[in-house]
Amino acid sequence: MVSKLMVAAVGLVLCGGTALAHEGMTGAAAARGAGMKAIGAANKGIFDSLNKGDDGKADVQANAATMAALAPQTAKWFPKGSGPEGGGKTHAKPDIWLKPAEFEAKRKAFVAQAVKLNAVAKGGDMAATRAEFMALRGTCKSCHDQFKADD
Amino acid sequence: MGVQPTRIRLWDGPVRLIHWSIAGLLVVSWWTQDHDLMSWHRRSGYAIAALLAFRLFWGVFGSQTARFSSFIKGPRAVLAYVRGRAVAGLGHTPLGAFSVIALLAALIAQVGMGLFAIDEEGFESGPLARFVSFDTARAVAGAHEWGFRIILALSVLHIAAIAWYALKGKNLIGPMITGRKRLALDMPEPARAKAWAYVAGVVLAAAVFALLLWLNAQAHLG
Repeated sequence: MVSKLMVAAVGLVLCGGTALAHEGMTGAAAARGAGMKAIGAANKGIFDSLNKGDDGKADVQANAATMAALAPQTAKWFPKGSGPEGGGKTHAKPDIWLKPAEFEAKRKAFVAQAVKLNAVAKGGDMAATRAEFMALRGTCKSCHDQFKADD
Repeated sequence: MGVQPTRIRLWDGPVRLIHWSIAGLLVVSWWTQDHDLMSWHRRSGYAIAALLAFRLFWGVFGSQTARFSSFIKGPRAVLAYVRGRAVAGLGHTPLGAFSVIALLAALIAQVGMGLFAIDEEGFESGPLARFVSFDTARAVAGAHEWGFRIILALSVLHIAAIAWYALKGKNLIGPMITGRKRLALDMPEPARAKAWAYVAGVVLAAAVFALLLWLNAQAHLG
């Protein structure tokens, strides 16, 4: 329920463009910012709930489903011209568009791992879910280290 | 009072130790954040929190010049001092006291916010971030970032004031290192803290540090 609402909310933002825009962000960069923020929230939700043991299982599953629904949307979050060259506020580095093959490989690794995490979480094995979750974080970090500017 | 010493104990051990430790840990906190070493950033913050707890306790039970009651003055006293109409006694001047209180307050707010802050990705956070929403923790992180800028500004002001006094021939750094100050005129040495207060201060600091490390483990943080 919560996850569906979240996905709907992010979809709305993507369509509406600047509805939930960060200050100084416009258009695609704003939508990306809102989407990434939703992924960050799901990330926190999974981590917090994983640490609650069996009590947190339902929340882990809901957030993993949100993550799996959000991850593929990243394909639409990096249109050409949405980088810093537009003068808008974004942490996206120009290399995203200069090295598209490398970026796409990392993005796809993230999507695949989000889908895998969701499948394992649905299975209910929280220890296995934790392992997949840590692997998911690895895919985020790997891409951000190369393609995301520091705060 | 018996014989008046010309070289007195101005700042006690805890005041000096806490001062220089926090100065060093501020650099550690900045550097670890900048280099993505957040486990160490957290520990640095916990250590600062422990030192702040000790300092607050020492502000009531420490030696005379460490006590808030000895150096916190009302605006009238500060104004009189600034206008050169009042002679400062031993310890913090009325204006310097403002600096002390501002730095202490900023540091307390800063470690408090750090407990609830989370990064953009949701990877690294303080040990209490799990009790608040992502949005709240992000807002706190933004304030935590501003808190650092404020502390930096207060530190620059603090160092500039010391440099200004140095130009006027007043050495403030020496006494903060050795604890001792040479006086031209005889003044009674500031009253020292009781032995039990030293023990209690150390126990309090250790307890705060241990509590924060426990919260860190509870939150499954590195």
